[in-house]
Amino acid sequence: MIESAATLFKDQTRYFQGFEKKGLPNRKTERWKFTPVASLYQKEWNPQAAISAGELDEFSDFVSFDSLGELSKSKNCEVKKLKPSEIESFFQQFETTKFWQEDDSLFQWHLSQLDHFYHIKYTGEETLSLTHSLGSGALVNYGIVFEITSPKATVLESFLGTRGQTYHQTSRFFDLKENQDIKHVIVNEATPEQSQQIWTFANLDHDKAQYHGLQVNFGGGLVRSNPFINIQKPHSFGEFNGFYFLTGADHFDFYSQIKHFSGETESNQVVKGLLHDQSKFAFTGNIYISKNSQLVNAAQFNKNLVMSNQAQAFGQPQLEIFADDVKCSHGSTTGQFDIDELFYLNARAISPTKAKRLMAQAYGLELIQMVDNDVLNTYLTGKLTSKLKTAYGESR
Amino acid sequence: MIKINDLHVTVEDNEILKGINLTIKPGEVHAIMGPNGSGKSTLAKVIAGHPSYEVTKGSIEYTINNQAKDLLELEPDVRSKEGIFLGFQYPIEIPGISNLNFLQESFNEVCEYQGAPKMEEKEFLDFLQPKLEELKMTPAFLYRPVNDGFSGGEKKKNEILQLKILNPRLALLDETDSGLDVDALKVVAGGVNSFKTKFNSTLLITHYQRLLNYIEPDFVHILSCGKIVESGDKSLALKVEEKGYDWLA
Repeated sequence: MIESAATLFKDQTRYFQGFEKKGLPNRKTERWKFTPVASLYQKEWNPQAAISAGELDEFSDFVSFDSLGELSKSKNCEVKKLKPSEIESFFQQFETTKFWQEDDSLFQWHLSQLDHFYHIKYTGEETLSLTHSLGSGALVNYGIVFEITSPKATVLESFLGTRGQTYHQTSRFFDLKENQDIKHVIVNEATPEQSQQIWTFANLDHDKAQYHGLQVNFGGGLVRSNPFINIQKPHSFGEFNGFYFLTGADHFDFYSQIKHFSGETESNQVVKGLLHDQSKFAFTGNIYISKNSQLVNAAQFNKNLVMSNQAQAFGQPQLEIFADDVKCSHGSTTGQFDIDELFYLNARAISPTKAKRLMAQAYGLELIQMVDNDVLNTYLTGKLTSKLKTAYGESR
Repeated sequence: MIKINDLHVTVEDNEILKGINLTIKPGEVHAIMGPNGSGKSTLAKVIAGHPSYEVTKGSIEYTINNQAKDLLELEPDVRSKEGIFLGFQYPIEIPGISNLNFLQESFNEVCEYQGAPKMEEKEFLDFLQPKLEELKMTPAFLYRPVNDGFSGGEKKKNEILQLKILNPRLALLDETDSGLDVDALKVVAGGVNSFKTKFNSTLLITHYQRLLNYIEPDFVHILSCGKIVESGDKSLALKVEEKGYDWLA
């Protein structure tokens, strides 16, 4: 149980007081109504020795963190732990931005408990691979500020469930430069006993900036992803897509905000996936267009395939439009595999099990193929295919 | 090859087929014509095993390698592995899966079932090349998502490509000619004709006699209100072209 702020920097006490004032969210708290988190905060955590899942062989530029949030290893990038005064000034400035989550007690709780805060500078143009190890019976909180200097680069973050329970909270901050194109992919392989909060803040405060986010979620007992994008200058584009494949009692809550504070900007969001067994998914996608942001083009779509009569999907696409000359679309559908699509594959000698696996694969690949990075594309395709082959096996 | 006896089929409590009797022998080409809603596509889908249709009466006996099987007992994928092919009127689009991946999965499933070695990608590409050329398809087809963004003609060519890859014993071609211009029709018909051997049989479903100018049937049947009401040779198709279906009522 957590009863006080951590002691990394001074303002943590203030953030903890902000959390205490609002208290833990419950089912009546709009932005947390699908995800019961109270027990995670009331639980006694008993951290064990750190575990490191290591780094991915496919990528030569990497950073790896162990299961207690400490830096394990890095190559071809600069990683430094920020000093308390640097963290202090970062968040004092952050409080003044349009990202500040005043209503969200858990974000303030996350800040109040930060154990580590890293600055990662990447000057490469390829893929920087970050691995986060999960486990060790620990409650872990850390944050990362990315400084990407090249005009085009990809950041891949992999959450690798090693062993043991954890409540793992991370936040990451991107500030894009003019004409910069950043791809950011999160692959989550948490185990059923592991819980997470994944906060992402992408600030597009320069002309012609492009941020392409994607989360591929393969599990986790309770996973909450909070991607927030602020598009503040013209000709900029922001997207955060998601694919999920849930089994058992997995729970995935995708809560996103994409805000347009400038005209002539674009955004896109496609979040889709499959639910099996007793799994649960909640999508809340908010697109906000401020009063003077004319000529915005924004699209959002959520599609859920429910494969079991005990699985549950909730879709809440939301538009808040204050400008009068914009193009916006949104929608959410929930259903099952199309019987004619499956029959088409069966009529081509493909067994029912393999047909379902191929359809699920197609579902995910449609999003993965949008990632314009051949190496990452190949890696993600292989990962998805192998996950689905294992999941469907011969019996499902 | 296939013997359909007194076949009755319903979908959502509506009886669509009301006692079909049809025998197709090895090497024969049969054409089924009939007005809209007469049950032509239903018949093809039932033979291929579509799960939405319920057979309430009758039987389908399928003989391959001198072994007679109760077709209705076989799952749709097993029917395909046993040599039954349905060319779809509306081929399904599958964004996210490349045509090559789909074709290779399909082909290797049949190989595995029949005890033949599976093909790796390079060998499979070599195997595909002459078939693509015959159908005037470029290799770029293989790397596009299955039927996604294909024109009507491209989709139908893709169906015939699958026919040639899987090399079935019985091909059920449901309105393979619809949506094709005359050049594409010739290419598709050429693909179907090259499938014809003394072992293979074809059941063509079509609205128009024009397809039969390119693929010559041995028998033509008229299906109306769920029953075969007339059978004959190619001249029957010409009569339908001239007089429509009213004279059969």
